[in-house]
Amino acid sequence: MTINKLVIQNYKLIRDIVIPLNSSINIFVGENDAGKSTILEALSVLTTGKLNGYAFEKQLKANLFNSKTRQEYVTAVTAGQTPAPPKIVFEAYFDGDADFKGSNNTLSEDAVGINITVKIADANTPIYLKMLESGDVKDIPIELYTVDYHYFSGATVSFRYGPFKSVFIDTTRKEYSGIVDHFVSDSITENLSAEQLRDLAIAYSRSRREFHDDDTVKTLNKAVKSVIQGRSVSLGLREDEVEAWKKQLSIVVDEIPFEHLGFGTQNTLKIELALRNAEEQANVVLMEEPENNLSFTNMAKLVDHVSASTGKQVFISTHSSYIANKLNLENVILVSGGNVMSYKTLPTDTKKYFVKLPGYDTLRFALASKVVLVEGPTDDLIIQRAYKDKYGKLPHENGIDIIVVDSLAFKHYCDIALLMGKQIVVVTDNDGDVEKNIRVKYDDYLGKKELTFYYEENADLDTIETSVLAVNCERGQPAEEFKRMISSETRYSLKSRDYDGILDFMIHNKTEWAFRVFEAEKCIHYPAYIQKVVAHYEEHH
Amino acid sequence: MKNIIKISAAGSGKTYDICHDALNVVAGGDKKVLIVTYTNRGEKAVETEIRKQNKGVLNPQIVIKTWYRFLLSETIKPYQRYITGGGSFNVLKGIDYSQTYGVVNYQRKGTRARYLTKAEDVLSNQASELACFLDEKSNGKIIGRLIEIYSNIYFDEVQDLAGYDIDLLKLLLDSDISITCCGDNKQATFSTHNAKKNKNQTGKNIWQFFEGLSNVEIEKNLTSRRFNQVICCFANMLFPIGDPITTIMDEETGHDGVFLISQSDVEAYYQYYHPQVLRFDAKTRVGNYHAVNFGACKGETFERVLIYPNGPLADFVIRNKALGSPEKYYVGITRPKYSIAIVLKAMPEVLNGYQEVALNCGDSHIRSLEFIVKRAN
Repeated sequence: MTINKLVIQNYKLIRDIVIPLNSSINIFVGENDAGKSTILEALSVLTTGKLNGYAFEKQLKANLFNSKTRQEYVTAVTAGQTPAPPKIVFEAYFDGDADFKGSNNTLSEDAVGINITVKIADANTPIYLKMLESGDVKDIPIELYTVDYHYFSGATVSFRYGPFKSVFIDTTRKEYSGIVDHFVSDSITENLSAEQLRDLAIAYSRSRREFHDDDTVKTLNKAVKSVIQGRSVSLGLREDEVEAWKKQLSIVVDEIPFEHLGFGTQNTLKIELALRNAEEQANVVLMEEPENNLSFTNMAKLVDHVSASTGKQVFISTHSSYIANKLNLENVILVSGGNVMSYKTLPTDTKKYFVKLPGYDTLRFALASKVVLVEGPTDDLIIQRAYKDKYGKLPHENGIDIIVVDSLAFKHYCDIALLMGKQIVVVTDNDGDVEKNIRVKYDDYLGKKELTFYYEENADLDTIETSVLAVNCERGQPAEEFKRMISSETRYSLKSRDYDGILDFMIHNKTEWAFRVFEAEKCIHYPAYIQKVVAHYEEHH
Repeated sequence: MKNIIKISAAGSGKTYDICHDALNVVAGGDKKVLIVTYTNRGEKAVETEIRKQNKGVLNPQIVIKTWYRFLLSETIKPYQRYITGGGSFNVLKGIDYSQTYGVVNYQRKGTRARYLTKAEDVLSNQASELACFLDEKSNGKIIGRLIEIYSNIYFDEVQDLAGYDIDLLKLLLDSDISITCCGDNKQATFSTHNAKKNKNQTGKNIWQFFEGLSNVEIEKNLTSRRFNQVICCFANMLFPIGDPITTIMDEETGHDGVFLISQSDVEAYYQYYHPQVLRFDAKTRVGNYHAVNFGACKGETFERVLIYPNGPLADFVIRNKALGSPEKYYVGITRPKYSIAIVLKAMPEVLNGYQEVALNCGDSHIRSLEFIVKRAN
């Protein structure tokens, strides 16, 4: 049984969203506060009725509501209006048992699913009206709220016997000695199937029975029996509650008790248990930032486990581009500002391009808040230095990521930027023909509000070398100061060179001259388009 | 898909057959099977029978629901938004039974007020009509959903269905689900609701409705396994319309048949034979004994019963006056396996069709008139 669609309304960072899901692996990628955990929490509530291990309905707070929703309600109520009290809605649409089918859902679809609505309890509406009348409603009146769990058929949800068994692997959870037992029993039992748990319980009670059959105990009992005349007396184990065996259980790994293992190993073990032998165990696995507390080797192992697991639906939130890339970009769902985008919706050749890229670059682009795309390291260094000259800081200190990309790939990045609504700056050479290499080439992209193109407008200045050199000349020849700056550190090596000689040096030592400019004590002059790139970020200062 | 209509005599083992069949079906298929009973007692009787045939436990693939629970959870609730409107859903709570029997609903068809109370309950009289309406409005989603879930649906006591119940049943008979309807036309004691619609297809007449359908197979089983020959004859005499029933139960206990006894001897009789006390309804006084009304004991079996008759039943016994609507009485007298004792305030000296006997009540003997089976029967 897999969830194919998720609806979240008014919960934390999410206002109203419909997320199409993959049937096997879903990787939520995004910056902090983008809404990744919000989505995992919704999935946890939908599959278990629990949030962070405790009943969801016991944890209602006004701040569970989307802050904008809450603010709008408060403003309206304060202004004497009577807005409908907001509701939090979670819905999971899944394939499976028609028992849960019906059209009781926000999308009015005839579908199989669960609807969870946080709303004012029907019985409390008269109280709400009274509170409104006397002006007591200053915020969402959470004390009047209740949580309604229904299948789309209208039947009440029973999580105990429901269609899902989910496990939330939170690798950030630290447990201490006092609750180690609980931790062990929880970590283990929540990852075993009902049948395995039952067999363990039966084995435990069998071993208790065997205690009574032990010769030592029998002999002892014979002796005891004769002590008190006329009454049958024997030794026995105290009656146990059904769950008692869990307290007696410990896991031993390579002869080290589980609770004494390193946290990383504990996590790997938990994850392994959760993902093992798909069918009978949890059919939904939720993992929050599994890269935490894991070494690179363990992370690689984890990735192998996840991609090898079948028959279960895995949801992972991660910051790690390694994980996202290894688990196939097709499965990545980008989360930003409470919205989602799937990589799947990208044009095919763009998708292909990104799938081929090595680990880091792919998601670096997706995760950066402000991106400047440049054609080579020369552009990168010059823009960095120009930025520093103007603002006294390097771009990355202001969250600006300059990414060097083969100019052939610019369009692919533009596609993603458009898909994500991400603002990016593209700095490109005109290669001697502004019309052909800029206007025609980027015809589909110029004028889009997400994309800003900067380039040398003078077609005679076909590369960054000619452009930079042009503004650092005095009377047609390179300025002395500039020549000194791009010479080697120890001596003024380029002293005798003229314009052509300097240009020749620059073109054949692209990174070197730029690096010397970047490191120099004095500043050079920058071409207008470089100044524009820097000025683009004026608003941040 | 195969639709079967089973007309069965009281005590012919309907419940046994339904459960046996249902267990067979789920053993060979992935889909579920639904058994819809009329009363809560009927639901319990089915559960008990399933346990009996299934090593003491229920089977998760066999769903047992009463008629109204079936209507609410399997037909109305899943597609309630087609009547609740305005984007609201999951608002309906339960069934409202407070409407008096016979009240006419003047609200227009298709309007919310016709089917629902202000408290978001479904009016019991309109429940099956609403189900039909929602199925039509949703373009057959209700029936479609049932097809996905169930391979077979069994309806017990179909003689009690009325009005739109029949329309809903017809939709199901025309679907891919195999429907089995069981009933005894002689036991039509209550209708699910009071309806003008389909009146000539209700109760005794539902069989004519079934006989008129092309996609059903009608099976008659008029042989009981519950009660002895004497009780069987007495029942045929009490309900002379339609096919007479027969029985193959031939166990004997030494006190078998139908007996009239005097009110003053009840205590001695009761202490010795421990019969289940039955009556027509709460208006009949029965002293300090725990009594069950005829209508409420449908589907049950007792060893012996003791009946406190009301006026019409006493008239039938003493003056051989035919009963106007014998259905409920028929239910009552077809419950016991061995004996019926009917309490009379004043015992006649002689009665045509009865012979005088002395009944052994342990310490004493009491006078009784025993019903004699005529050879013709």
